[in-house]
Amino acid sequence: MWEKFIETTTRHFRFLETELGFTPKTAKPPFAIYESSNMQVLIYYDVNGRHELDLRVRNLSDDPRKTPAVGMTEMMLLTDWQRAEKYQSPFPSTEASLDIEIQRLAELVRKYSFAFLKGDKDAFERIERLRREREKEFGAQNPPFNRLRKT
Amino acid sequence: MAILGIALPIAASEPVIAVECFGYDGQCQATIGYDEGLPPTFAYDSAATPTAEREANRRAGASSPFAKIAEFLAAEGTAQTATQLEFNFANDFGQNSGLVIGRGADLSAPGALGTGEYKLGWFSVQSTSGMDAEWSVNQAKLQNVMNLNLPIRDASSLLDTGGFYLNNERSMLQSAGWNYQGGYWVPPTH
Repeated sequence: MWEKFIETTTRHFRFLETELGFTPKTAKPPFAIYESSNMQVLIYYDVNGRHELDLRVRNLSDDPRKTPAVGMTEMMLLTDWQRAEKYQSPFPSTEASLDIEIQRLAELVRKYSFAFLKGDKDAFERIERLRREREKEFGAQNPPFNRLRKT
Repeated sequence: MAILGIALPIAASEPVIAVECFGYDGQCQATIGYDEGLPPTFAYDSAATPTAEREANRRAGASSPFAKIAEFLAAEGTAQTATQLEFNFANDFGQNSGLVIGRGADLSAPGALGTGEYKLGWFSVQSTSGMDAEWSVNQAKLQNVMNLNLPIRDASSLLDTGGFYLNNERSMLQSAGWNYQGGYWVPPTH
């Protein structure tokens, strides 16, 4: 199944190499990884567990423990929040469904992720602002305990 | 279950039956999955089982996650920059559970977990018993750590609502009164 994942990913995500200058890195479960000079794309397939398929884009300079990589929902959110709201990662567990879902994922990336793949600072800053808004919203839902200080 | 002596079925929804034992004050659960044509599965965890109320809260909390974000996006051109929240978790709390929750891709990324941190793990029953059965095991594991009453780190963005299990985990924490602060879920009595 992992070989099928790599073969299908290579096929459907070839545009990362041909159009955006990414290079495929050594793939080992659960990630197929592509890198450009400053960006990294992690295509996740939990082949030994739930078979979840997912994708992340991150700045190579970001500390993964401090700045979460940007996921598909967030990338969709900037242009189509209603579609983002409904988006759920698929769990393809057969070769046929894996092929379909990787193709779907590649189409979503083509449609919503180019700014992120190019390392567009504005796109990442907008996500940061939305993350802070979301955090404030979560804080407001459970207000009794609050030790936060505002600058 | 023979070792535990007495057991009562507490929930049964195809294809899984959950059994709670009372030899340990309700703090353990066995999940037995059966799918016709597939081998039966058995999972066990020493944590409390969900209540109907919590499940209702979980489901209620899952609706329309981006309503306020959509308002913010609409007003983005004129809105002031969001206030940066200054928060130093280590200084304010000192101790945490070590557990990190998040999307699978975030938890599996190189460098995602720091020293002393771990993620929940078990033999997945999803392919044999379905997502509800998988969630039952996940829920029991998380409840087990929540019982420690120590903060739990969340490695994923709060905007990421694309994961069935993480959405459920966050709803479970919120329903139990936990607060999200600076990347951590903090128990109400901490």
